[in-house]
Amino acid sequence: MAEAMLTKRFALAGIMVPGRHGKLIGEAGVTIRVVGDIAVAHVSARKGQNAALLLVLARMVGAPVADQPQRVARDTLSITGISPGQWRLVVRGHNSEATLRAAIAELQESAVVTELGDGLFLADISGPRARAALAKGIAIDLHPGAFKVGAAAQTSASHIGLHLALIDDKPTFEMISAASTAGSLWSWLTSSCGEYGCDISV
Amino acid sequence: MSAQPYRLATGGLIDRKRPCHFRFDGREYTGFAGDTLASALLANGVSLVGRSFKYHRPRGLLSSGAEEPNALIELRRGAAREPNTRATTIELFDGLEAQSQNRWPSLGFDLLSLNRWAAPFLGAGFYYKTFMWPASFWEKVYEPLIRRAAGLGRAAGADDPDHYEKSFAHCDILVIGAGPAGLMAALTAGRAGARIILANEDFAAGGQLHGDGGNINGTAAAAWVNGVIAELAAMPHVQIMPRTTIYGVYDGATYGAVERVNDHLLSVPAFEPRQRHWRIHARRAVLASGAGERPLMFANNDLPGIMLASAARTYLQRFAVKPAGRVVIATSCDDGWASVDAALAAGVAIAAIVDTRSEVDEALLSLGRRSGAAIYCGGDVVKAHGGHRVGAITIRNATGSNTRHACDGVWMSGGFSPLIHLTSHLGARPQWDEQLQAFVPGQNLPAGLAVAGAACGDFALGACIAAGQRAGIEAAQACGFSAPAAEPILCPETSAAVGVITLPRTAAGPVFVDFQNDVTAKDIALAAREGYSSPELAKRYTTLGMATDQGKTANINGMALLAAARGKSIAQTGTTVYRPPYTPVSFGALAGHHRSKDFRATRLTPAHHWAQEQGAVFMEAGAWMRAAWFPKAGESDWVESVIRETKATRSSVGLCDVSTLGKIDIQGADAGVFLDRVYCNTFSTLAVGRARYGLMLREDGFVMDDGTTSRLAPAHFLMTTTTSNASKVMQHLEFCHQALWPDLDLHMVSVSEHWAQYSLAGPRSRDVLQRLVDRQHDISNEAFPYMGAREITISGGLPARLYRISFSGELAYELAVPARYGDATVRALMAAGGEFGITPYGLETLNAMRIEKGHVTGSELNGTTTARDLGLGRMMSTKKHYIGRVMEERPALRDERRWQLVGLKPVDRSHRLKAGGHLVGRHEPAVTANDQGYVTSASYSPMLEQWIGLGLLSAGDKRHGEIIRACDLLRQSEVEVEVCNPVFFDPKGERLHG
Amino acid sequence: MRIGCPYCGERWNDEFVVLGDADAMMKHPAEATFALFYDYVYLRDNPAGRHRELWYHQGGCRQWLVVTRDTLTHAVHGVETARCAAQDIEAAS
Repeated sequence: MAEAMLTKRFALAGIMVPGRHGKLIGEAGVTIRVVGDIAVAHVSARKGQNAALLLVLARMVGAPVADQPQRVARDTLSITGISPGQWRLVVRGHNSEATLRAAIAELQESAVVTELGDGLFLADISGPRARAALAKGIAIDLHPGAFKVGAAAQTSASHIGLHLALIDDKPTFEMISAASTAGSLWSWLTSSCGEYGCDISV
Repeated sequence: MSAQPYRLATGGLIDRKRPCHFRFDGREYTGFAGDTLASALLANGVSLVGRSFKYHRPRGLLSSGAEEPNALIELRRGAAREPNTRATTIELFDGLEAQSQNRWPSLGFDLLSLNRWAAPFLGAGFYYKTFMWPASFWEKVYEPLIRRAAGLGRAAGADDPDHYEKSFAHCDILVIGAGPAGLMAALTAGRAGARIILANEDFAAGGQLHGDGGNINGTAAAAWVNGVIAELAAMPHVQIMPRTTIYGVYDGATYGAVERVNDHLLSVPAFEPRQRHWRIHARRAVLASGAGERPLMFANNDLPGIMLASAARTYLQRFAVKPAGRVVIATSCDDGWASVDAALAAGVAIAAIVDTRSEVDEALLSLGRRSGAAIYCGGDVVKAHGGHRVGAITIRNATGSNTRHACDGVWMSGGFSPLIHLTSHLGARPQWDEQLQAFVPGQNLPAGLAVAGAACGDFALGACIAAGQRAGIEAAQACGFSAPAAEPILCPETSAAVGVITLPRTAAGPVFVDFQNDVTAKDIALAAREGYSSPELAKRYTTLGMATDQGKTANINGMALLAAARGKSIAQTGTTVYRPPYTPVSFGALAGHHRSKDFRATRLTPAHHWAQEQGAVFMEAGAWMRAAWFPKAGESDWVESVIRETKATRSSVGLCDVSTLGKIDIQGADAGVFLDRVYCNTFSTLAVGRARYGLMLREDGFVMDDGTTSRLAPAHFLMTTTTSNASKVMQHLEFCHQALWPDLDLHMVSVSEHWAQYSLAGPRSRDVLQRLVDRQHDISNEAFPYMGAREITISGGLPARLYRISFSGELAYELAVPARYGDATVRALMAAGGEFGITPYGLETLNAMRIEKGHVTGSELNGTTTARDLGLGRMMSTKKHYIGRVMEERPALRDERRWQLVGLKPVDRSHRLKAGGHLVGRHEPAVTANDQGYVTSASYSPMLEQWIGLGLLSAGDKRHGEIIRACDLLRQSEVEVEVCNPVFFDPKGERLHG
Repeated sequence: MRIGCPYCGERWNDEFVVLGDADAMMKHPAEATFALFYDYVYLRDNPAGRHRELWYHQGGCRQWLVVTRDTLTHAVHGVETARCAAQDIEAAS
């Protein structure tokens, strides 16, 4: 397939400004890294194929996958439960679209897959004050005892829907949200991080 | 006269190394860090701090805490000015500016106090009986006058320059209050490992320990408190939140709180909020809010210098301030006597001690005798005398003879009321405890909330500490932690604080019950006489317990008087039920980030940036910003732009962003069956590669939404919905799938965000498309006829979808591309269409064209119309069951006289038609009885060169050609209109098939 | 008020949308008389006490749930998915 000649415009184009924001003195309490290149698909188990799908997904990430709000990943590909029998497949980085297409091909038999990547943006939010900043809009308990590495949640911040998952215990949170409301969500996020100092990068 | 003449030389929790200069009513004073504004004013000898609400009586500090009814001041200047702030809770800082309220021209000389001569006429409820005639005077005279004469502080009148935040918190145990009980609860539960939030309204922990000190476990109270706080602060699972008021209890173990993050600084540090609202979920909570002292009732008990005895001790101990030089101590409980030692230690002379009880403990009496004061048991305070400050007190002894004592302060104690407010926020009624002479928490407390310490009626310090420990252990155990047994703590015996409520025996002057609202004992009696004798009615009639203090120092006395007036006991009369907030909460804290442009989320389409570059004028469509029109130089209004855009589109080609439509991807073997059940027309028969207009009904038979649904593969459909109903339809479909028909083989997911979609309309639309669509996809008229729907690729391989559907009535297509390519696609379409004069158009033109073609939108699908009303009756299948079918068959919905869709054209082509106007017969008056319908949509029609509209008209189908009137009563205009076919332009639809 | 979503865990009620009485669902429209339909569309009991209701977890997993809630105290006594509830009814009938 020939490379498409049209170019992509990212959801946060014209909205995010890389660099240090908020309090300038001292280490930044929050680091936000926007991952520009992502490919996302919605995966829904075909009728009676739940168990089969779980096996395929487990093969993809090299670890067991459960029908739970959990995120499991290998290399650039992650699988996150978003509803019973439904998962979101996310591939990050260069060549994400091709990797996604390959994954989708493996899933056809046990799942109905819908490509979704374009209307979303993804940011990794980490740092010693990440939890405090996120708690200013996210109503679920993000305490390490309550939201462990691998935990995922569909919820909202500032009345805007988003998906959150804990990737590691630095802590690093993966946040995915809609492109159309990206500007409003970004406004809330940067405002919440302001008092801690925030490093923003792509 | 030295600075701070009433500051004691030593002692207090103030930092004498950090003086704070401040201004009150324009004069400069000095205090110390650790002061409140109230303590600093007292230290400087300022006893007059406000004027009362109604009578403008001079007022001083009654208390030292959040219950303060008198000392309401305006804090700060300019846009950050905050009215009605209690001086007793304002943490003093260098540079603070404050003003008293409700007085003119000044606090010392308030002309409005002249209305005290009108006092007999200004009793409770006077405004229900006056200011009625003449009716016109109310708005023009009475109300403005009353506003000037009464009222509390002034709002700043400018945008709040600070920002506010909201946050969420979760914990195992929320401890409310950091007095002895709260500290102990937090400590024991914290040592057990539970996640604790310790919330303290005050900026320093300790509660009443600051007034009544003593030694705890051998350490001075202040040091002991510091030790506990230090241990708590070192625990990572404990969060100490000073300056934080838990203002409300809500269902589901949820608590509302406000943290005054930066109110105590001259300016808010950059990027920090002034205040932060918290919504807390706590598995367990311990309410250790303490108890509040009650005033005594006697004539003129509101004079400056008259304050609560425990407050006087707090000023002495915590702030090292002498509130007076020579006092009378008036009490109805043992605790009041604790003020004797405190006064003597600070060099305050005691003129007299009067205890309303005839039997007083010998130990207290000998304490009193050591002071040299005249002692009265079984006596009463009859009256306080003075102008801007109390100067003397008349006391009547047990045998009835009066004596006058000179003094400049009265420290009174009517006993204590547990601060149980939070316990009744979810409806539990407080219950009267005869032994404690107070209301205590009732039954059915909010789930998970326990009460400990003085808030529960355990007034003695030892009992508070033990109760706090027990509560902490119980809460920790309930949360699954094992808590070690509590260690015993040595502390001084404190006197019993059970106070007999004494009703005033004489009426030698106004006896104040509610200081903030100027409610007197006479008002309560009046309310009872006039039949407002239940606590809730009496509250509303007299305003007892309203405004910023919510009756914290008033309610109990008010209830006692009310009960007496009814000849009942307090237990029988009851009390009002408390509701949130416990103390006032600023709107800023409640709004948080949601102000101005962040009030709610804004949704932008992928082509928004491009549209901005084109100079589009935007309008709000729900949360979306949509281009309304694209003005060109020289165009003076939107109508001119619409004429140009429409003519360009209908003669060549136009481009419109329709990305906001809801799009739902529906797959599965039963997808067709599902669609047949939710749409009134049939979709299971739709061929692959075709699109069909669908109408969705509600269960009651009315139209819910419309859209175009396409079949991309045998088991793959793409549904579109209107922009505004996108989430409602998704919710409905998911309900049908999960709750009604869970066995269907069906998958659905919203893809509204993932496809950018552009409408290309006009005779040259296909020409433009052919420049973008990859060659292998044949989109000629024969290969891709009207209502085709296909997956294609554009620009060298980008997956896209093409639909040949038309809202404008022209040859038209909608091209959908993955959202991130929307911007590039729109630019590519504009470039490809350049030679055809491609014209971007917005919502106004979209609307004009669809009205010209009689297509309905949300204006007609407004929830009151049926398919038949809209001329779409034939869409309803008779061969299948679908949602809405049964109820739609109701005879009333098939009545001929129902308001049906018609076209409307002003008879005079120069007249303008507006949506909303109601339709009446040509010569009939425009009154409700003659109402025959209304105009649903209107626009200037570039093709007909006049205004046109759509409307709903009774039996409209049969009235084409009739002349009626459209009356816009709101905008005062009437237009004669001809009823016609709603399809104004190209009635045979020939242009579609080009 | 907090609702324990079986998939997402306990959340505050502002993540949900309420539809109404879960026991008033029209399962078999083809067999219903007009009178039954009319009652279904317009008539609802308003009990003071426990009530089985349909709630939609719009802000979370988008599942429809049947929540047993006490209308006087907002205490939630049970939550199951609407799917399960529907299948229970099928099994029972």
